[in-house]
Amino acid sequence: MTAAEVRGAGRRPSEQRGQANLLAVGVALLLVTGALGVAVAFSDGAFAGVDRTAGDRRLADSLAARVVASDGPLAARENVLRRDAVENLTPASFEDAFPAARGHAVRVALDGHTLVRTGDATGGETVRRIVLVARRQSRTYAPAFGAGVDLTLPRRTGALDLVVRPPPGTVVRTVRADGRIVLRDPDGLRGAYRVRVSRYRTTTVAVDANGSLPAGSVRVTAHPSVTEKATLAVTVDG
Amino acid sequence: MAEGSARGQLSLAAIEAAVGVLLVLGVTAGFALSVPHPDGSVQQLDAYAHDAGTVLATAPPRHGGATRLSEVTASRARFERERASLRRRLVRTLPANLLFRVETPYGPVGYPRPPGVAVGTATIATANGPVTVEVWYA
Repeated sequence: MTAAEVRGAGRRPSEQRGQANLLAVGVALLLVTGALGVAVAFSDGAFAGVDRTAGDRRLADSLAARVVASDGPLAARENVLRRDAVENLTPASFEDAFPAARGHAVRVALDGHTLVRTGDATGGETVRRIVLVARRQSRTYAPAFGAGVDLTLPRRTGALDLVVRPPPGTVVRTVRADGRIVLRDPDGLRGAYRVRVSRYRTTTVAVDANGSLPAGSVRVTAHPSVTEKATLAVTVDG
Repeated sequence: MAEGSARGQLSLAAIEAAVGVLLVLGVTAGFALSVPHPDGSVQQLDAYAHDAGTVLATAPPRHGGATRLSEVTASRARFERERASLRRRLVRTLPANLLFRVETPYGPVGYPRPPGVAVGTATIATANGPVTVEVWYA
């Protein structure tokens, strides 16, 4: 016999009904309160889960975008990083180059090999980008030039270094790259020059002189870049 | 105690409680199931697609033309000739857990895109029409 039934023993049926209703309302309140508690716990977890890493992810995204940008501190061009710049990163130089990373734990890795780590970034949000890592080579060619004898460079390059040392009595007036005059001096070229050429076409160098130019009198140094693919991972953890 | 009326009173409260619990649990299920979790997979895929497009658009060609993409999209014959090497190049460029499809003006390169997966997309303009790179997780 429950307490409600004891209390309601001597009363009219309508009051007994009321007592039984009170018990049911109590149980119902318990059930609804329990369900509410579960609901609040779930919603709290959902909001916490959404809010926790949004800032980290945004920062990782923007840092990664800055690293691969064509005018970024480490980039040779868009999505191409310079190997020397990448290998010489220190936490201080990284924060100088990427001020947004200051005060955050950031880890930058290339193919799983950590380049730089500021703070204690272990977990956190990671953004990955596909990059090419470029290594500069220098190739020097010193063929004999003459009328109709040109030098076609086997690999494309953005700049040429020329050293012009013609034999006595010979005057080198112009140097052309792809038919375009890039160096010209009617009194004779002599010395070291740097010439920019298009990276988007194969370069042919022609030299105009009033005499024959034996091998070595014009030395052309090209700087083709050798690229290898890599995956850049930027991790931000608070 | 009148059997019918007592049953009526009890079941009314029970029904109210059941309806209340259902309502509250409905809201809970909404939180538990349908809150979108921005895990960044689409943004990450878009970044992969954009990077792959940039790498192709700035890579030197195998034979002639300004870049790898302009070589591939120069003509149908060139596309057919370079198709296999473009595919190899993409396989080498993209991480191993990604599959890809590249739509060129002369036809697609890569795998058929499965329905219902998150896909990252990037479009590169070339002189002969747009080239669209799509990537998704394998």
